[in-house]
Amino acid sequence: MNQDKLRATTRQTRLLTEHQRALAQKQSTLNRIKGFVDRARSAGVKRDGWAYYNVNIEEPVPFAEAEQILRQTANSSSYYFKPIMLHVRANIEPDVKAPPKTASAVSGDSPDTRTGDVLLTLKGAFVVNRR
Amino acid sequence: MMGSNPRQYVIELDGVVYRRSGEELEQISNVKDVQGDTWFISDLESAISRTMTVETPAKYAEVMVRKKLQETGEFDEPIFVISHDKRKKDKNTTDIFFTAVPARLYHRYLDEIKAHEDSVLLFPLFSVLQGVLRRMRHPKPVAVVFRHGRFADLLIGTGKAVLYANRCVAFDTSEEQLSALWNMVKTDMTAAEAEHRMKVDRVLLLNWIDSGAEPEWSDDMEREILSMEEEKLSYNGQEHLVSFLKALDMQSSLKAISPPSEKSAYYSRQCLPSLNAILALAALLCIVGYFWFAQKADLLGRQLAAAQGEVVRMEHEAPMEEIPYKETLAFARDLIRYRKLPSYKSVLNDISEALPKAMSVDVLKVDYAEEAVNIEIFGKAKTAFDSAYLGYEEFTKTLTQRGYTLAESKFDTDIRESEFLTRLTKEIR
Repeated sequence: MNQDKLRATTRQTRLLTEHQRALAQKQSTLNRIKGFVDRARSAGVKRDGWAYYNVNIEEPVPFAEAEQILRQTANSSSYYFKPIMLHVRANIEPDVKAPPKTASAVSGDSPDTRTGDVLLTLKGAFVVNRR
Repeated sequence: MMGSNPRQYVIELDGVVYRRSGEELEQISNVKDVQGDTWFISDLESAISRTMTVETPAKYAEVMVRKKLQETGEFDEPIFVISHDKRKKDKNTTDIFFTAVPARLYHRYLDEIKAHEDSVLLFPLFSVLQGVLRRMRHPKPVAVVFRHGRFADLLIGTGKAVLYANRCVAFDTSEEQLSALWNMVKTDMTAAEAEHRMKVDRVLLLNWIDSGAEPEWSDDMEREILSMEEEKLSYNGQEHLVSFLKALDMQSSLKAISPPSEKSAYYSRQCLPSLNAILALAALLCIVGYFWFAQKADLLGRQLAAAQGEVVRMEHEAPMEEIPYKETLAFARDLIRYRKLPSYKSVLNDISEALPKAMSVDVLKVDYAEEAVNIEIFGKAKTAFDSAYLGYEEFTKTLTQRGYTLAESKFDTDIRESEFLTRLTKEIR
């Protein structure tokens, strides 16, 4: 009987010690995660604190304008740019009209009547911290 | 041997039963008259002890001896053969050293033993002499002679095998007859030497209270005459020096011919004190073990309670809160990814810088997947084939040096003008 009691107690103690160790490890991991989350939030890494401005261009544009557009589609100190897709087609016929307009284009010009050097198709989004 | 108490000997020789009690020897009428565990050494009255070679496997040697003895007319009644030693000579021949006793007598002895209240170990006299022979451990044949009354029991052999056994008998115990008896022993030894082609160079004499003087040939130069250590015994008020008791002390209890139940009872009694001591020790160990384990269990129990308390305290004091880290972590990863992604401009710059002057791009597709940027370039080279091809090779080489991986490459030419299609990927790290 004492032998059984000894074995059972030894097993229970071992299991509890293991459980204790696992709890301590879990707590340590949670503390590290909490620290990371706190630091990230204090640094503004919080989805609801950022705005997404989608870009969807599909129109013929002159080289100069294309270059101007592309120069802006890069990360800067005040925003990130999330690139999705860029298609450029050169040697388009001068009378080729741009396809029906796309949603919000960065440029404020009307695409319907425009002609250019390249047919530019660009999709992406500006990700801006609202502060 | 097994117990600390001295053995109690009852010795039956020449029809007289003696009981040894300390240094006293007393005559009793029967072994039944003694109390307590007893070693009973007997010449079994009219028994004879011999060696014989029989033409039969060892298993049936006793049967063959019985048949031969009855055929020769040595016994006129059924006999029982007690085998002391059997040796297989060849497949169908066995050397046997035995004591033959009338069956009626043998069973009478056994009945007396069984009827005895205590354990009695019965030893034929010649098995005691055989024990002495074995203890001598002499490599060459030795003779053991035990003289008592008008008899001389002779046993010749080595520590391993008995070669010859016989009882020499005198008509009476007169000096002349005893002298003749010793000569008879000597003659027997000489005959045995001749028969077995060996030499007995050592003779051990055992005596009893009525042995009398040593033989005249004790100064025989051919043989070394030895006597066993003698013990002082008092019998009927007279002091005797007897060596036969020393021979008994050398005897092994395993040689007893008592029934197995008697032997078991004897050994059990002899072992009882030791068994009691072992059991007491075992009980003591159990008790000590019980307390040791109980103490160990209590200690572990306390450790268990402490550990359980600690776990409860940890769970109570520091409940595991659910931290909504997944959304923050995913968004942080997204931002890191955006920072790592090559911009459209940087991709265009890489392609422009790698493109030779004679080549132009008609279609450029840049698609951003989860882990990589996929690029497709379709263009022309308006120059001769050799410079177009070399330019294209340089173009792809430059891009691969800048970290792009060439997934597909097609180059078609009509010599004056060439077309190319290049698919590249760039891992996002």
